[in-house]
Amino acid sequence: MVIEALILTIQVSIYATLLNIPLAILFGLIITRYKSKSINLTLDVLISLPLVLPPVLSGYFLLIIFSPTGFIGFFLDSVLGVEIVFTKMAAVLACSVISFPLMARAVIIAFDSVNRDLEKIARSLGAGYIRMFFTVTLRESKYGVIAGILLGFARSLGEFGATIIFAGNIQGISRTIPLAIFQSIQTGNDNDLSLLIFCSVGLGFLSVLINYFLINKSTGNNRG
Amino acid sequence: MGFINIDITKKYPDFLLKCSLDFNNKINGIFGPSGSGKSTILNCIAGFISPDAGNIKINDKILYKISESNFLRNDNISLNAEHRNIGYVTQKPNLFPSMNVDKNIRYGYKDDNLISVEEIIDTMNIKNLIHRYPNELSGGEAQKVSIARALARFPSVILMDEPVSELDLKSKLMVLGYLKKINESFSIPIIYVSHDISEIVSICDKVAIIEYGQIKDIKNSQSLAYFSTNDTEFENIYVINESISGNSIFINSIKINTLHKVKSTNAVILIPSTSVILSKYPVKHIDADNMFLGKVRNIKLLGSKVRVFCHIGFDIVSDISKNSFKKMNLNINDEIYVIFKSENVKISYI
Repeated sequence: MVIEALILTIQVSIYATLLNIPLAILFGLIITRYKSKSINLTLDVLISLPLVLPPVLSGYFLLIIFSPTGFIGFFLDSVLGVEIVFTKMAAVLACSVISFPLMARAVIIAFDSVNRDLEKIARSLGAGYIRMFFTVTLRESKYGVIAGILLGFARSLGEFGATIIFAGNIQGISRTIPLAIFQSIQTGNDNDLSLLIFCSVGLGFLSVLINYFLINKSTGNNRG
Repeated sequence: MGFINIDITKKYPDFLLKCSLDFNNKINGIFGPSGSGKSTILNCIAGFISPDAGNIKINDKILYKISESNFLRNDNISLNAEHRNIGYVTQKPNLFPSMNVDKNIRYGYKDDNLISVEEIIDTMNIKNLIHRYPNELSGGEAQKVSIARALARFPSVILMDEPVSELDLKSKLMVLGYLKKINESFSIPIIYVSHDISEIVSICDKVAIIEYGQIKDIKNSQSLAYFSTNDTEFENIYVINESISGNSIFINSIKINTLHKVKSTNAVILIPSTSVILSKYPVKHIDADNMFLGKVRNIKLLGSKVRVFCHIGFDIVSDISKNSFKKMNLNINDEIYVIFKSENVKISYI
């Protein structure tokens, strides 16, 4: 059960992180480069909400939206024949929603720290928006962006509330390490519990450590 | 019709920029106090800010043309910044921090350029820097690389927004010298923005004076010195590439004695206005080895002092106290002896 939960947790967290990266970059670019106060405020509130709401409530909202009677769930079910609730995809979506604010905020700070004059100069040197983004904006903010991605990944590893509501606690499908810990406590399975706790602390410690080094690198020498 | 034609309007809630300029292919200046709209003009030319209406044309290429009466017309043009082929040099060098000097210079280089990167590196004398990263360069070196990077695109014009205002004196003189060299070697016009009258006078051919978003006047740079509005020190700056012998240098064929042996024919000379002494009569037995007979061209009363514009084969400005001015009873066209010590002739080599 432990190995299965560990592999599932890493799988779910990787998928959730991959899902969040383009969105976090898009939101980051709009908020830091688009000068509309009302749009920026709306996006800022949207990004922050999962951070302040109880994860259980976020999970409940996802359940309503993606259930076969919900407005997205109905479309997926009736048109594509895809069911999301209580699947691995639901666990991915739950992790994605909960970890998104942490990743997006770090990406926003990283993009905001890039000197705008560098972007102007890149454009005067013939770079279009895409070349400018990859050679200047992303390149100069890479450590901050990677730190944000890692922070989001680390948050996904520990996600519990939204997952249990939206994806259930099904072994091999949605029972990630936090849910497995919950299950072991409930059933008094002390052998699995200590191993799960070790895995959970180990993964979390590793993520935070790498994140720390990346943040140090982004605030220090920016070369490379 | 000049090489660069600009006629634009840009409205902000509390500021109106209305600018009509006609510049040649030399070094053209835009002079004005902070907040007068100088940088906004450069941003409009570069394509970073879109004017409300008007046109911008460089060497017959239309960069921007929008009619105020009908902004939906089919012949309206507004090229993106990346398609304007304009070099842009800012107050800070703003080199890409994660690229070395060589990569910085090659960032905008086009294969069909008329000048090679090697030629630019030689001209700017930065061969020893190409493997270094921006954080390993001094302010002057970084600004030279920044100019080289703009040059590598072989732009139709280079815009410079106070490029030497953050540099120490030696680097500032060096960079000013290079600007003159670039304009002469590659025939690339420069639009140079500054609020420092000494810089503008030293390198610009034609200068637009801007105040509160309006062009007040367009002058040749020497006559601009008279428009000094504050009593900060004026620096007589001369870009030299004339013959040199031993401890002397020539400005417009006038021999100037220097303290040390002069090392190169390409140099920039600075003589601070406060170190230039004036006398109505020749002075003997004085501890200064540069004395020239000239004429007073103009006189301007400033806050605490009087600025006297003299011509001794070249123009030179002297700042004297109000008391001295009264005692000397100076008038325009008076003959005058201009005196300065060789140790006050500061030299920076290009």
